[in-house]
Amino acid sequence: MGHTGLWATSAECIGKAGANYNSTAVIEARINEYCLQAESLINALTRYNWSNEFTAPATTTTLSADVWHMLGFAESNLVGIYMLTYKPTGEDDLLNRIEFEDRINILRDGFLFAVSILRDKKVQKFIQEATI
Amino acid sequence: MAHDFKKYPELTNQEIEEHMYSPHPQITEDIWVDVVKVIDGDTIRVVWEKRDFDFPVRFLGIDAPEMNEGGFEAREYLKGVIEGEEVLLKIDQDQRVGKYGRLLAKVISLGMDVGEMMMRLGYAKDFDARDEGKLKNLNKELRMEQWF
Repeated sequence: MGHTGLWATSAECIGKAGANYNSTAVIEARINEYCLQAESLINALTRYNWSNEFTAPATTTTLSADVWHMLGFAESNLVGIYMLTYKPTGEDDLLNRIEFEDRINILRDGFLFAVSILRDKKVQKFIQEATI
Repeated sequence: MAHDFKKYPELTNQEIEEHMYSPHPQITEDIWVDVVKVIDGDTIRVVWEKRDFDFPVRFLGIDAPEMNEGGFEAREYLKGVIEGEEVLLKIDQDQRVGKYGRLLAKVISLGMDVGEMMMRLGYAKDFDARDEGKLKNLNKELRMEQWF
């Protein structure tokens, strides 16, 4: 199944979840679902439909690549959290609680930081107007 | 001396307990309000359906620079995020009213604590850490009339 998220690739999301997430259960289809949910959430939180600026497949956009990857940063951070929480002990129980919580905290902090920036109207204008 | 409700619309907890008269409802729990103006990085003016005037709210737990200390950026950010929007004011029962009789509250917009957003981006400091990095007032510390 092809990746349907617009801003972040599956590889980026897997990279954020890190080693030993439960890849047996969290398959491509599930990552796709998480990505679409994350995109809807970020669109609503920033009160701007960023998805409108993209055409599937991913990375076909009218926005400049110099700036739009920030959307992918926010998205993959949120998706990474849910990829981990599907099974906190990870693949073959190789994740311990401390490592799991550390990763969640780092991803959560990154997501909140990105959304705090994206909610700034000046930043939104900057991303929309950045030259391709 | 009579309480100036136009200037200081909020009663303190003690004044409420003493049944002091108020011409308008007092705010003692969380409410939804509309932000009509951003004054600076930690103060806004809001309207509430149960009052026929707008009143100031200071963000609880954060301290943003004053306008003459470079607070312009903080104000502009806040304007872009909440001016004209409906927000939830979360009231701390023990810290309802601050200096100058202003209501103190955590401001929640779209489920996010705006004060925390300000701190995350460096526009404001934790209120308890507001004096970090500043030289202490030695006269005050030593309780001397004049020392330095």
